[in-house]
Amino acid sequence: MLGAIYALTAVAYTLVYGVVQLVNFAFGELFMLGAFICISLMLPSVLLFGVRVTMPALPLIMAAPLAILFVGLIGVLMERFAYRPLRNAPRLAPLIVAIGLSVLLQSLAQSIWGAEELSFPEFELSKLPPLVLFGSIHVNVMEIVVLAVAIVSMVVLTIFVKSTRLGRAMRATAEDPIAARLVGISIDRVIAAAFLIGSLFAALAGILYAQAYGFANPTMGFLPGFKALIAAVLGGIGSIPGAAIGGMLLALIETFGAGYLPNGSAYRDAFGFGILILLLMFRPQGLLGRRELNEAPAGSLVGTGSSRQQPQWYEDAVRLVGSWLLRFNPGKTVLTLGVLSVAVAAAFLITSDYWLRILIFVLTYGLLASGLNIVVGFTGLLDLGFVAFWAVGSYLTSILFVLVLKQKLGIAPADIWWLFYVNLLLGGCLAALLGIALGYPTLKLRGDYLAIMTLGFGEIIRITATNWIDLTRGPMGIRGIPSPSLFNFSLGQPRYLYLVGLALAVLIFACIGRLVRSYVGRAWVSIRENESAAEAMGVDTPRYKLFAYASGGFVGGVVGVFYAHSQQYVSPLSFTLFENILILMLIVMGGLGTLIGPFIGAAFWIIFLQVAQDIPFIQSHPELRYALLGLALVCLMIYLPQGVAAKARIKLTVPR
Amino acid sequence: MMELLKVEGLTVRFGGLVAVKSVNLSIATGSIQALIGPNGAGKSTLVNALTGMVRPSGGTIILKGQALQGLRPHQIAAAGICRTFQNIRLFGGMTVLENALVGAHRHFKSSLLDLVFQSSRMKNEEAKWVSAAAEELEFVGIARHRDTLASTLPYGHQRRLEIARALLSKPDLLLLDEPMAGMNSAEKDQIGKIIKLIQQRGITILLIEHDMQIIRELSERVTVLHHGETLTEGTVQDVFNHVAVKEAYLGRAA
Ligand SMILES: Nc1ncnc2c1ncn2[C@@H]1O[C@H](COP(=O)(O)OP(=O)(O)OP(=O)(O)O)[C@@H](O)[C@H]1O
Ligand SMILES: [Mg+2]
Repeated sequence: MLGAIYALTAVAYTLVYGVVQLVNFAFGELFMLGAFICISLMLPSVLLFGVRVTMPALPLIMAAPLAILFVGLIGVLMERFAYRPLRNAPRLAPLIVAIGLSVLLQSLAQSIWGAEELSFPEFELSKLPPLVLFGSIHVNVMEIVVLAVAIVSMVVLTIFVKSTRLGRAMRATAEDPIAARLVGISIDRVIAAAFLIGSLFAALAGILYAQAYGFANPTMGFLPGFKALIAAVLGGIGSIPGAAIGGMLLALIETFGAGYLPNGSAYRDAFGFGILILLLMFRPQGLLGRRELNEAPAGSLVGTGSSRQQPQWYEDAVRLVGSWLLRFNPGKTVLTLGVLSVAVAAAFLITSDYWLRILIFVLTYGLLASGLNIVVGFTGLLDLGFVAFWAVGSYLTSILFVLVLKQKLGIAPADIWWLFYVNLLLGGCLAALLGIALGYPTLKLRGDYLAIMTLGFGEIIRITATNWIDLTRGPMGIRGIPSPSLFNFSLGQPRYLYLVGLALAVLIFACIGRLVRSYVGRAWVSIRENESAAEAMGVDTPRYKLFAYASGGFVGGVVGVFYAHSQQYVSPLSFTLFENILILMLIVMGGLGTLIGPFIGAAFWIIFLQVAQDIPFIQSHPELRYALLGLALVCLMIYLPQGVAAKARIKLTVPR
Repeated sequence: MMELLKVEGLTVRFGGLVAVKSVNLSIATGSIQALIGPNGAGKSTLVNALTGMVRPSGGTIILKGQALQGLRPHQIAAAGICRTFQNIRLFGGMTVLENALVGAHRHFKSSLLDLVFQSSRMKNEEAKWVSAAAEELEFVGIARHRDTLASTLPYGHQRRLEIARALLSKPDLLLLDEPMAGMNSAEKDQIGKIIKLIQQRGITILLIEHDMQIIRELSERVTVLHHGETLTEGTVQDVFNHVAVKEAYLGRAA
């Protein structure tokens, strides 16, 4: 039955990928919305934004179609306003928009319905007793209904694609978009139709899922959505029967793996990701895929400037900010020293520990974002598994200090204070090695597939950290990590922690800056701009990609060590995909491929988080802040793809 | 005659289509060899095969005694072949100077430590290649634009930048894939002069071009490709008088 649900959602991915070659990550959220809307329609009243609203209390048979249609509408709107403006933009832009939409919808759902789960109301069919087949097999009536619904909708879709004009147009577009346009097919309509049908299917799957498990919650869409994507890739993305087979197969593998492998049920969710990674390495076209849809068009990351005509006020605003930034250019050294002295002075002028902690967060996230920026911003490889490096650094030092030294060997952390500094390096190197190991299998992949694969790696590492209890203590996390100290002097106070963080930031910032302003940086950016030309000019692209992963990983590892000691606590909850997306957004906000952008993004965001806490409406719905983040990301991609610090595009030559 | 490049039996297949069929090619050191043929004859594919950008399914490529078939593009660049692209492939988000410097990538020898500590070795190296790049930009006539983004460069200048970028790799053999496509005759003349000057610097050139007048002016020997096969090879005069060549072109025009 899970298979049927995966299959339905996989159809959504496959349809849209087929016509626009885009992985619309937001289908997982449409899946969730389908469930929420359906349940809301079935209840006599629900709490929306904490306000009780009377609802029609429809029977499932009416609520479901209404909810599905509503979600379909959202899907179409999404395409119209978020994706269509980016249709000809470089591949990374719509991908980032997809991620932004995901965050937006999920946080919005959390604000509207609350973070608690909503239980699925009872209805006629669910109360029927299970059927007994062949005397021994008990089957729930609803399971049969789910299967039947899935099969019927697949068949209807297949007939639609085969024999209606719009369906044939969709197929033609998937085969050859240029030829399709030449024979007069309206691409806009075809794409809108694909999004509509995809959204309908995702919503249907969401409703079926919610009734099967008896509840809906705002994050329910992520895992099934992602697994559906795996199913789609497994079956060969772009192929409808492939989606069906992929869904069934994935569910089978999961069930058997969980049942038969040692400790299988704990790692159940990792199987899907494992399969995905193997698949992408060895047979990226999937089981039924015709060709490898893995060609990313050459070109800048997110475009070197909007080709569309912008409204006048917008042009003016950009010019104003730009000229302001340019005027503010009092020589490199003066600027650097100025910023540095302000940063150091802050440590002594700010007396509130609270704000110092916030600054430490800014530094931590700014550094993480700088590390990821090497990979995404400079080299143009969308990496969604970056948090793994952060996790590796954090866990390395925590395990060494707490589990090994303190508990096994009985050495007091104060006696080996210097190990913290060694660990900074060690954590960095370990993470860099991991970067190379994880980067290697992705070398041949580009664009969406690369993003999906790195996402899979990140999730596997998180799932391992959660389940390898002996090593990591699992979800409980590790407590009691000592704060850094210098000889007998503890640096545990926020003021000193901030200074340590600042020192790290300056060091790392300088190193990244020097690498980027050299032939290495030029090689990275040339890969981003046009990989094949870079190769022809003598750039060993695999090597420089690996080097980017390693450098990014190194930064992640170092920050991880610092983070563990400044928080004195690590747990797998800190290293979720959401964190990764957040870090990515910070870079996009600040400016991809700029040096200062990640820090600007981090400062912007974390200070916004704090300031927003004082707004009453946001106080009662804190998730709205993330919804705003998602929205900001989408708007940035459409209107200011180079981020706030766009004018700070850095020179790739050594300043003289 | 000294032979710089010797290609024997080079074959490239795309599924069922044989885009290059057992082609032999020999280029003399210091010469400008022209490669002509109707659209779709396989000229660009041949260049792609020579630079390792498509994998030949058979044949040998030998440059100065070194076998190149099966090597990766960056290894071939290191061996001394560099190219320009028919469909311009610049690094749009980088400045003109930075584009040119990527061409010089293979000459950079500084280690990571040199970079991080800004050693004098690294600074000298960088300064040396920045000035070399500036010279090449001057040479192709776009020095004024060194700090503009390549994507905002006018079309003709983009073609020039392609040439400068390839020159910075200091190749023995330069492959120019229709470097004058889409230009007016005045611009073509200027590019023609540049090509002649490149030859005088001792760099051997393989030039793909449709304009016969230009071929006559620039090159010594011509290879004609048709349906992926060598139709004929010889001096400009011989080839232009060749009956089959006329047929190949007229046949296409008719
Ligand atoms: N990557 C590829 N995959 C499949 N077929 C290809 C590929 N590249 C080229 N071809 C085919 O190989 C043949 C030769 O193309 P090629 O581009 O080499 O011709 P050309 O001589 O450069 O033509 P033009 O004068 O138009 O540049 C054409 O039929 C083309 O369609
Ligand atoms: Mg060509």
